[in-house]
Amino acid sequence: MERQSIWDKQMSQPTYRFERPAGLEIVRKPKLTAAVIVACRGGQEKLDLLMASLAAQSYPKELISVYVIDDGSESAIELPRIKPSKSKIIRYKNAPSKWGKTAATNDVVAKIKADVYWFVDADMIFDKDHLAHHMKWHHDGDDYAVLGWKKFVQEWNYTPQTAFEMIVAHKFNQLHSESWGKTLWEERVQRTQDLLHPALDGYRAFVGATFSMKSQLWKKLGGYRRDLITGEDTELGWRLFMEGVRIVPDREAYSWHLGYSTVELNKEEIDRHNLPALAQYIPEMKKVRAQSIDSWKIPTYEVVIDVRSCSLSKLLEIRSNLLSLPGTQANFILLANWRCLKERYSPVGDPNADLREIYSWLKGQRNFSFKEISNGNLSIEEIITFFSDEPIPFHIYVDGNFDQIFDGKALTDYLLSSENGCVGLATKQDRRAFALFHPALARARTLGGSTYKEVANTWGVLWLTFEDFNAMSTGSKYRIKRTVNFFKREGKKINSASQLLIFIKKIVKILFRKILK
Amino acid sequence: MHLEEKCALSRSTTFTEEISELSRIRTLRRKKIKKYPSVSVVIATLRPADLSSILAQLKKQTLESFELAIGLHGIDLNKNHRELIGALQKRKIKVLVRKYDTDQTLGTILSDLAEMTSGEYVSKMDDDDYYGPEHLRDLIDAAIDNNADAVGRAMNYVYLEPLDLTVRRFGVQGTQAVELWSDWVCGGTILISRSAGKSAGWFGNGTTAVDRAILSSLTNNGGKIWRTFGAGYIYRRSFTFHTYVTNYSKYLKNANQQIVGLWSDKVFGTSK
Repeated sequence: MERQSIWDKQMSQPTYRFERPAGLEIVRKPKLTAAVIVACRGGQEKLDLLMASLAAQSYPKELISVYVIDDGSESAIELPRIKPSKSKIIRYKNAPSKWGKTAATNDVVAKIKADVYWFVDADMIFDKDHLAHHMKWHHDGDDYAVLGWKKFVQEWNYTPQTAFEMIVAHKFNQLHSESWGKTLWEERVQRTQDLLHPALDGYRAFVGATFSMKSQLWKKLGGYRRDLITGEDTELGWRLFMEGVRIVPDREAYSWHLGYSTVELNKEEIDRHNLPALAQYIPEMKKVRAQSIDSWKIPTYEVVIDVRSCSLSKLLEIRSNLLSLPGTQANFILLANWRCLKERYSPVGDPNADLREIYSWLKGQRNFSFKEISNGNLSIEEIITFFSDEPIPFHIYVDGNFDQIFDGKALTDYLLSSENGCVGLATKQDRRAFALFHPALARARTLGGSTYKEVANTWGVLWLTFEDFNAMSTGSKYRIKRTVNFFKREGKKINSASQLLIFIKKIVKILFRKILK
Repeated sequence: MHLEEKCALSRSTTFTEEISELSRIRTLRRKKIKKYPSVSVVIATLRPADLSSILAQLKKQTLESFELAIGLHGIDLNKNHRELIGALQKRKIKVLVRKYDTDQTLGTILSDLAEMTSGEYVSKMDDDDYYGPEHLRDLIDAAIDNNADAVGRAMNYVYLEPLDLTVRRFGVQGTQAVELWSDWVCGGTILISRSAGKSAGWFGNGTTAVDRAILSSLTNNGGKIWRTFGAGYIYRRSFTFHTYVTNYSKYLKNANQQIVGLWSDKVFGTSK
């Protein structure tokens, strides 16, 4: 399949990790067109204020079109008097599976032509330069998803006319003297240096009230997941993050959110509805996932194993080491010359006994698949082709005859903390294993050419000897860091009294071992 | 050339600094040389694809003329080889080809090839390694400048095929140290004067350790070996059969730099 590149058009140098220019300024003579997309169901009064703030935007009017999607409002939504000149109402005809924000937005946006889509909630009002701040990023590159900066306000008593005049007069901040930020959200943004170093947390910061991206990126992602009714922005954030897209919270793009969000007001009910629905697609929601033994739609790991010289017990050891943390799951792709199992054989003295045993035990398991390879050596590039495009955060390869204990969990932890795109291990016995971060894989694949080389260019590749890696995992030099990581990791597992007991037992056991040593 | 005359090289020397130092020394050495001595290159090969690769690299050598002796170890020349040899001959490079049965040892073949050639220096090259265009000339420059019986390169660049990775290892100790007298150089980069080679019994007659054979005999005879920069040569660790272990992972230890793929730079003749 021809992969669409969203990077190579404008930039001569591809993006490195999540790096982006500092101090980017508003573009003086912008060229890109922006389609503002507002999906609403009722809420005319707030919409009128929103439209007034859109009419006050400093971004050139001829480049802005506004599409208000009326998703089956009881009394039909009307365009207010104060609005951008190119504003349109689209009545989304509801039917089963054709209602709600995700379906309405996806269906309507599919027909909208613009360089950039700016999605806004209908209960927002924006500062004069809000859109201009979004657009400065889109003029810089194709791989940005920009978030506006919002504060919540409890009440408002101004008219659209007043709002319009105040915003035009650069008095946006004077509309409210009291406002609240979302503490958790702001802390996350702060902690990740405005998502420059997001680890796996980046997606959580993606909120739907005001975000924009190039239309081609939206199309590539396929928009929202239609089966989600709420929380769709979080899931979209996960896929954007997995795609290697740079998510930028722009602190200069001010906005007021009129009233508290539905999530804040009905937390318990919303959680009951959202958590399992989102956890299907977001492997990082381990706590939710740990509450069920069933498998979820997107696994945490995808593991490719060359099992041509591998025993069943080795394979199961690799699996159990990897999945030590509750709420994690993996898809396994086993590479071998499976065709040889079709030849006539006798159970006594079977030359393919190991391979047959693996196949016989695992062929019924849905998370195991079997891929045919010939007898030659596997290059890294070839191995990478077996990894899927699904937004699975970690892809792992391991030689089935890896002669040391392979801890895939420790390797992916290290991969994440090192911020590389790929970290590999080589043993004295010439065995290989590596872990690849999905955002790096996804970006590399859009660049064409050698995926492995592009991962190195855009994210970094590091190979270590197994001994060096092991020393970092067990040596005295990293004891404190390891202890902290241990408590963090094990602490996450405690979700019941029995888990707490297991945790205490583990600590006692370790202390006992250390004392005896 | 003495170490004191050079800028301080250390483990923290960057690739750019290393190349600039190499260029500086090259310029100084070449100023002193009016006429290059005659050189014979000996290559034993058993893989047709590798022979094509090394012939293409030889064509790009900046040393104006040399003699080439190819020992075919149980293989025949194909059309591609003959074309490449034709191109070398057009460059006024004399090419000798001799066939050997598979039961002949590597040492015997290389020693025989060295004997049948006539250059004042004999240079051994390995068909699976990578050589930059200045390789032969740099070796002669170093041999003349230091009045050495033999010269060769440090092991600063290693390509690990199973990882598709080139590692740069630079330092002042071990096989990474450059521009010094030593009893060891990379086997694929040995250049030895005919008289010293002959006295050392060339490459012996063993199946392996042919490089060790010539270097230790030379040292035992009181000969001196100068080790120059590794830049311009990439030692290759290929995939092996599953049962044969080489522990290529050791080259990752203390590597200064890792580059995915074959290191691309004009010093290796690999830049695009």
